[in-house]
Amino acid sequence: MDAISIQHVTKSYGKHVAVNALSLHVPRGSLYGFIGPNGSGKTTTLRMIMNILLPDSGEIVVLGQTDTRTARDRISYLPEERGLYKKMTVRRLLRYYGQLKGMKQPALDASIRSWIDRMELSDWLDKKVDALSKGMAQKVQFIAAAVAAPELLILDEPFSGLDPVNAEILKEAVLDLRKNGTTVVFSTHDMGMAEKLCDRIFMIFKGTKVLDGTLDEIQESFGSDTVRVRTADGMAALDGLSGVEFVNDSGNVQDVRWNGDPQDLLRALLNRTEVHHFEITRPSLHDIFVRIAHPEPEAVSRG
Amino acid sequence: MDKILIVARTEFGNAVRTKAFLVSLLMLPILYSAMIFMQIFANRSDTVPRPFAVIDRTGKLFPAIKKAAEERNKSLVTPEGKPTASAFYPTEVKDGDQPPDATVLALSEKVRAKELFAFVEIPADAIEARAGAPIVLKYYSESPNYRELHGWLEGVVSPIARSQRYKAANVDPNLAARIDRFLITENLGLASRGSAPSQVATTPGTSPPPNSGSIVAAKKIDPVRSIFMPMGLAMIVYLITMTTAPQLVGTVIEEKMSRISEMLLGSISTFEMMMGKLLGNVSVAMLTTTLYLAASYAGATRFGYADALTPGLIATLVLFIGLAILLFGSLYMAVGSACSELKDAQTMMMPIMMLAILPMGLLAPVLTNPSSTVSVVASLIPPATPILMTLRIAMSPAPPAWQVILSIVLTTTTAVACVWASGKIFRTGLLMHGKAPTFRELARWVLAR
Repeated sequence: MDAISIQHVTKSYGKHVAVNALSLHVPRGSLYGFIGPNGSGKTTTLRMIMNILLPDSGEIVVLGQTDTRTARDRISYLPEERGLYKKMTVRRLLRYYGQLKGMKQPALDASIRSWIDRMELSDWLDKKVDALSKGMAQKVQFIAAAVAAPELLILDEPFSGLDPVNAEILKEAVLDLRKNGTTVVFSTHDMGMAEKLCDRIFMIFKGTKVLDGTLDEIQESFGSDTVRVRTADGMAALDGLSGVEFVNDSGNVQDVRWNGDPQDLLRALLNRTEVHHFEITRPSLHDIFVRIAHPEPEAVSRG
Repeated sequence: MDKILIVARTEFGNAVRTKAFLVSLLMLPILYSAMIFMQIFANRSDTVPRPFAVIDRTGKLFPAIKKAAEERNKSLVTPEGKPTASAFYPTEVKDGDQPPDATVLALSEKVRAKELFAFVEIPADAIEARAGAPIVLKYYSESPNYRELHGWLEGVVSPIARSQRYKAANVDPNLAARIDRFLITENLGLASRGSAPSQVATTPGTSPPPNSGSIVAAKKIDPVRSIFMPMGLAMIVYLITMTTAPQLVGTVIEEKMSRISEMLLGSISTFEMMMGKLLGNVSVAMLTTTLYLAASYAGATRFGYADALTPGLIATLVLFIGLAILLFGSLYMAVGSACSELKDAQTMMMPIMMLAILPMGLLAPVLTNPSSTVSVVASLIPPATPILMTLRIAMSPAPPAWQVILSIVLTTTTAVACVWASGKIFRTGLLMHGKAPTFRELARWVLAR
């Protein structure tokens, strides 16, 4: 059964079509990644799932309810660029969000306590929010969304701006929630995170669905035209080779989209320089994203 | 409903924890005590001597004026020798050889040079007995708003001139004084019928009709009951509305800009959010009202006016404050939700502020003539009703019941309409970022399905 089922949903702002005839199914218990360039319709889609915005046409069923308001207590939403009441203490704030999700005492305080301990914020429970560092505040925001043990957790850019330690803590928390049966949908610009975390990935571009499936399925559909190389000369080794359509340069490693027989590329490189690594592979999510969002081939993209 | 109460409780908790709340609580007492203190201070502290010149063209009045001034000065000094007000020191100035306007000019220069505080010109005909317009005493000074000397002169010169006229007409001044006795007016309410015979003093010379109460004599009008209490209660309604409701602009903008509102909208509807915030704000107003009323009641009891604060009056006051907060609070929330910056919001708040302040301009006319057409109509028009109807109800006689009921119905209807329209703006505005909408766009949001 689907946690979210979107059928032919369209939403426009004036003449601008933000989401166009979108259909999407998010299975229960899955970890679904939403990707897409800024302004492509991600947040509009998330807001429609939350019933904050209503679609112009089409139908959205969330946790079996067409009117998502009745399912609201079982869904949590963490918006992008989220803030907190600066003058409230962490405890009052978390109680407030928990109560709004229909949680009652003493279960609420027990849940707050366990999350606070887990996020290593015990000393800050009775401090005001404006005394917290940015990373701590972001963890409190995550707790606010997760405290009521939602069946569906929707996170808009949860990892943006976090340092690696806090990002790791949050990632663990997301994985644990999923293990306990929570369906997690999150939007991200971090392709590496999406590749590592998500069961399924959905990409929206200019309001239209362009990708939807497991990472394997998506990569499969883009074929094996990518060659990962590591040479002594780096980017310079690829200069002027006629089969090179696109290079995603990561400094020491280059992912090359090669039009032709990969063996020809290997021969050409061996003639020019010392080759340390040569692997015929599938395009990365990053590469796929860039191919879709920048359809015209570019010689070089530094990623 | 549950969630509305959760929001209301949190809003209330947030509001009463702020410094702004403490300030709003203390504002009325501070304002009142400051006014009283300033008045006392202004009256007490002014003991600067005021030398002035008198051009007495009658040639007969100055000695009496000088004597009156000396008596006054003496009476102002406390037994410890401290003056309690400014002493007046008159000097006589004569025209001599120069024309009268030259004397006036010369004395004007002296006032400018601060040698004199003022001077007065008494015309030669001031002691002549004849019919016609009043005789004009010309008072010159650089301090037109200092009324003490001017007023004192008016009160003193007239009887002195009169006694000169009696002397000239050979009338005994004592007899004249007895003939001249003044009539003054006493401001009274109306007589009424008491509930039991001989319960209250009857008007002399009348006997109570059979099977009915005795006639209760009209009471002397007490300005505390007829002016200060109604004004004070109207001020309470005004101050609480002005200090409480506008706070909603700030909290809504803060929540909108920090995306807290979006997070909340994941849990509650815009309607629940708006009603919760409004109820929270009403609760804050009710707390302030309770404290103000308790203080007012304590004060009224202390000075014997407790009976004027009837339960009916208090109930309507509380009801009107609640309705005023719903009416103005919802409008302020609409403004907050439509704007992305406090600066934009301040501009859009102006018309609402004007609506809230405007009734204050009508306080004096309504107080003087509470049953005039203007007073009745103004007190029935909702943005003004909470202040003006409270004022009218606190006065005696109270307005007819139908007017009170109609005013409550109209205010409630308007408050509901404002909440409805603001709800529409709130729903759209909360997720809109960037440029503040025009009034035309706001109207479109309201009318949208």
